Amino acid sequence: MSKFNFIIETEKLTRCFGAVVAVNQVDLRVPLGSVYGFLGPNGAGKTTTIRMLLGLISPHYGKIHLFGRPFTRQNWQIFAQVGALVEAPSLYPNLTGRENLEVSRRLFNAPRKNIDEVLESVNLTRDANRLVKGYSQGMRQRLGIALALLNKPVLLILDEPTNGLDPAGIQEMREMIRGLPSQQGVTVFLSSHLLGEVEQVASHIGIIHQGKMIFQGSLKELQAQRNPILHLGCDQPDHAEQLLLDAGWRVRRNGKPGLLVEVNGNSDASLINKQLMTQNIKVFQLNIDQPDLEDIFLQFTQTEN
Amino acid sequence: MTYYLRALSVEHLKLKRTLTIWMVLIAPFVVNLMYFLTYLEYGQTHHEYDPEAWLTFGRSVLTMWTVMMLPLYITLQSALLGNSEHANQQWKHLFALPLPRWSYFAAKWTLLFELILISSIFTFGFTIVSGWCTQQVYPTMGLTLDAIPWFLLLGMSAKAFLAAILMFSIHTFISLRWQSIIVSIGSGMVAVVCSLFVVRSDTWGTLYPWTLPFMTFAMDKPADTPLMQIMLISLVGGLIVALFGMWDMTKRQIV
Repeated sequence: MSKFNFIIETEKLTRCFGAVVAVNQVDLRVPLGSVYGFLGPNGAGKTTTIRMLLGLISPHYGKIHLFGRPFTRQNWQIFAQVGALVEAPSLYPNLTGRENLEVSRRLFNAPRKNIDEVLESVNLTRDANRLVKGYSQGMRQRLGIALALLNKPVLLILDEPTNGLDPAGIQEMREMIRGLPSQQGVTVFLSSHLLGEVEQVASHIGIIHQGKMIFQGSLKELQAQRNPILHLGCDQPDHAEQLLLDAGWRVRRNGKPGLLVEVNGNSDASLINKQLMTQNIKVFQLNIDQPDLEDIFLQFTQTEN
Repeated sequence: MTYYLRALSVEHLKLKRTLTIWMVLIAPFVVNLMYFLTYLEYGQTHHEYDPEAWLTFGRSVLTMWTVMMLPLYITLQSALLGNSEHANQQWKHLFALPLPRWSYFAAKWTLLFELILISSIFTFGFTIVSGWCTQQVYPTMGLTLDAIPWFLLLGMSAKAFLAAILMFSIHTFISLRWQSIIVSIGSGMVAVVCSLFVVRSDTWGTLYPWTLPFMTFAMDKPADTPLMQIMLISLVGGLIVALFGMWDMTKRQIV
């Protein structure tokens, strides 16, 4: 039985770049054995947070606990249990895929057989002896994941791991990440801007926006907190949007002709329909959906804005 | 210690298929080839018998090696070694591994030490070969194999190598500290240009890191060479810079 519930725990984690507060008093709680999706728009502070968790930059304020113990750069031994892929994979183009893994294997002092295992797990066995400079972006990304898995980590930190992968690669990655907690006891901390991807693999979600955590909890808790979405189709969407905004509804577009309106239930749908009819706007679609992660994410970030 | 050895073994692996490994051979070869060609072209004025022909020949090669080629070679090698980490964004990966950060600096420093040592040995070996080749063209010069003053020539090369330790410690630090390869190469080129002026002064030449190797054998009277001072500056200075580089690496922010 572990002595800690949260494999990553931060307390008021803060980091500034000049006058810009990139990460502002972030309290992360990543449960042991979870797949934690760390979401936020570009520039929200995701990568800065990850860099602090890995000791690559120091926080200006706040504390980090990894594996239940205070983390500073002085106790780097803790990285024996951590695998990480931060942004683009760090590879030596003059070496083969296998040799790149050998570099990290020697530094980890890991068994040689781990190389074959991780090559197999990312489907790179056939190309292992090719020079990395001839790899496609997707192959480089898969090799980066293999590097992160090489020491059989207890905590895997992945920053945008599906970058450059084709749909089949994304599917494989999703399956692999989903299986890691149950099959190998690995906790995954996953930062991504692909909300749909996170929704399919994450058990817990953290949303960061403009350096601040605006939500943290399980996926179910997140879905329970937010309002259903009314998908509305009408003949004058621009006019309808303005009318509804003036009436105090939260309306947005998703690039399609229809409108998306946050509602509380069927009665709101009926009310909206009535309001539009009185203005001679013809409504031809009204259906209510539970919000997906993208809707929730937009609701949160718009609320913050 | 085990961390350092792990990091060093990785440095050896990373040399595969790089220009760095070829430079070990090319730089000494070029210096000696140039000297051989120079003797071929202008040898008519030098081919009288000289009882110290090997010392004269060895000193000439070593002058070209220490004044020009060695500082530029150290600059290029250190820049290439540093750039292999900077260009491939390796620090964010390496610093998230269970190794103390100082071990990466220590491993790079040791690798550069090895590369320069091997190049110095090649320079010595090629000096013997090019001297022998010159002797075949001008048999009266006295560059016969049985006349080689092995200990004197080896001693000169060894002293020049040891006097280069401060120089390559500085360049190791610069190349790992600054991401831009222009800083690494630019600093070396400026230092070499300055050394062309500094080398004319017996006082400043024995203090300036880039002229120390040359000053180990450059004095008109060998007895005037402040060898202890040169060695002390190079070895102690080199150690201090290396320790500072290791400390600095532990403080590095990878933004």
